Amino acid sequence: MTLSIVDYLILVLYFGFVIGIGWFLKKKVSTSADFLTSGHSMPLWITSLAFLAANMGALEMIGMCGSGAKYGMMTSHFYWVGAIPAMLFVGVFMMPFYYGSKARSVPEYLKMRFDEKTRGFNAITFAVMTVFSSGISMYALGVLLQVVFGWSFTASVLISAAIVLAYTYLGGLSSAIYNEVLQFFLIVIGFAPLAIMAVVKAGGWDGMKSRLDPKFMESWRHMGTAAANPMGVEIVGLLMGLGFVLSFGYWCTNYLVIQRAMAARTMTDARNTPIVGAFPKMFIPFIVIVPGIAALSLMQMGGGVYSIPAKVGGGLDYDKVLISLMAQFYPAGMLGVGLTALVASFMSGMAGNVTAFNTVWTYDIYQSYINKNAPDAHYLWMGRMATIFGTALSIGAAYFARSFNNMMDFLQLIFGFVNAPLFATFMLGMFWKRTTSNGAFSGLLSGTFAALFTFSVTVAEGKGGWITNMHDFPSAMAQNFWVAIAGWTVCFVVTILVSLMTTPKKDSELIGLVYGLTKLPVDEGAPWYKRPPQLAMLVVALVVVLNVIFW
Amino acid sequence: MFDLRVPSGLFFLILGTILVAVGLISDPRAALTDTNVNLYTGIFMLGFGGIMLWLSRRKTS
Repeated sequence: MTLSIVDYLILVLYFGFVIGIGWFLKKKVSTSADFLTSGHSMPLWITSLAFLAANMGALEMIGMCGSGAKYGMMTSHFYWVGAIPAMLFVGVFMMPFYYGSKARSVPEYLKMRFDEKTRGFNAITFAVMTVFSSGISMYALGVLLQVVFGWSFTASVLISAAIVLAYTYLGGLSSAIYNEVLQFFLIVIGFAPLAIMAVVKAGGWDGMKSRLDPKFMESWRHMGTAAANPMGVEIVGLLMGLGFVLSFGYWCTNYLVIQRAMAARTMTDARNTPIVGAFPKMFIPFIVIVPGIAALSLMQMGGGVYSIPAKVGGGLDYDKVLISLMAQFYPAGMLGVGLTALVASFMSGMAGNVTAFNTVWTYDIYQSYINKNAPDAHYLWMGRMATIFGTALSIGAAYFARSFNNMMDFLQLIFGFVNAPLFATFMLGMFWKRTTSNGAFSGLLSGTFAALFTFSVTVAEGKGGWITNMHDFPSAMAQNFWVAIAGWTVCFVVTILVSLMTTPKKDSELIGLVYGLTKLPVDEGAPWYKRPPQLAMLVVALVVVLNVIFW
Repeated sequence: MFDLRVPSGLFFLILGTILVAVGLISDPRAALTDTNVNLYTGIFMLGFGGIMLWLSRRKTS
């Protein structure tokens, strides 16, 4: 497949705007806080769209479209059961403590609430994770562009990394956030026509229904047992594993997204950031999952109209669904837009990782352990340096992923083990003032090991079972969910037990950090559409309606 | 801090103009394209970009 001049023109135009925005924001940056945390200066509509876009990496878009073809409408659970309740929870209940504590980062909150070792554990694992996750998505994008357009892997990796580096180095977090909003618009406008055209071609929703097994068109009806649905997950594993542990662990504790909300101007805006972001979020399935289902339906129409690309070793290559749809439906012009949208989604994901990395590195590792009392200009310089070596490390990780594919699977797994228990630590820390520092730290460690252990004694799709095989899961997804549940539960129980046996911090040290000792923001007087709880209720109502429609 | 609506408005006006031009002049089609998707998406982008610029002007004046 080849691109025409107009497609390249669109790609170059986009690169020009992205760097231009960074250039304009450069003169705004004079302190390390401007560079790393945007100094609480962003309006609500910008923070909420950036909150969404930072999570919409290229892997996300490619993976969700592929899952649409593989699992059908059930994939929407990742949005309607996974993301949205967690986004509402962090906005309504947790943001008062993050924003109100005046912490500059999530690890710094842990330092204020607990102690140095908990912060250190979180900061270091988070920094390593951001580098590897941006490396993995860089690798995935590079491979895709190489396979589909014949671009050189090295050139696509280096050029996209250089552009992300340019605008984050120039304007810091503000520049990353501004660009994420532009990227969000481009992703929606670049993918929506594809969804519409694919569904129309497949005979509309009714045409798709007539051709596909109902399992692919309905989201809840087949969740009773794991064997009855293509995902191999039953309802308890779904609600507890995905809906509770994994998504709350991600949206409520991951500094990458929280950082965007903390850049808001006021407490109310910070709380509303994830809630307002939930409105567009609930409709994202229609532009990423639905085209995948339409692809499956088109393939079953027969006549060689369209088929999902096959894997070399047999079976279907679901990762190529999105890009093969683009190639089939988008002519020159729109193909450039679609491809630019995909590159944009990669960039927003990577910029999210880089800006979170440089802040955690500068404030939570460098300023805390290496050089405590330097003037602010030094930390600004260090922030810029961290942007450069964060990008360089990500490129290294991309090449590492290219040479050791299995190693990458392994690392992604480890990240799951680290993330799952974290939400238990935050929940207890924020809502139970009796939680002690040693309780939190021992809970975190034992939770991580419990997750690791669960993975070692169960098997799914040939993975896991290092020690022995005590249980077979029908799918890797079910295994992930239950591993996360184990990690969370053990962390929760151990934290409580150890806390009861150790001395808690004095109440006076916990003001602003814990529920019950913090003056909660009151929104009396503000109109209902500016109050976080009311807005959250509206989101819940809309999501319930969507779930009923696609029951 | 400059207004983000200005560059995003400009970006979609330029992009929309390119797509409308491609749609009107050559209307290329891919294997499964049934409509002039360049033209329609281009018109949408012109509208979106225009609204963004209009919003940014309205606020300052």
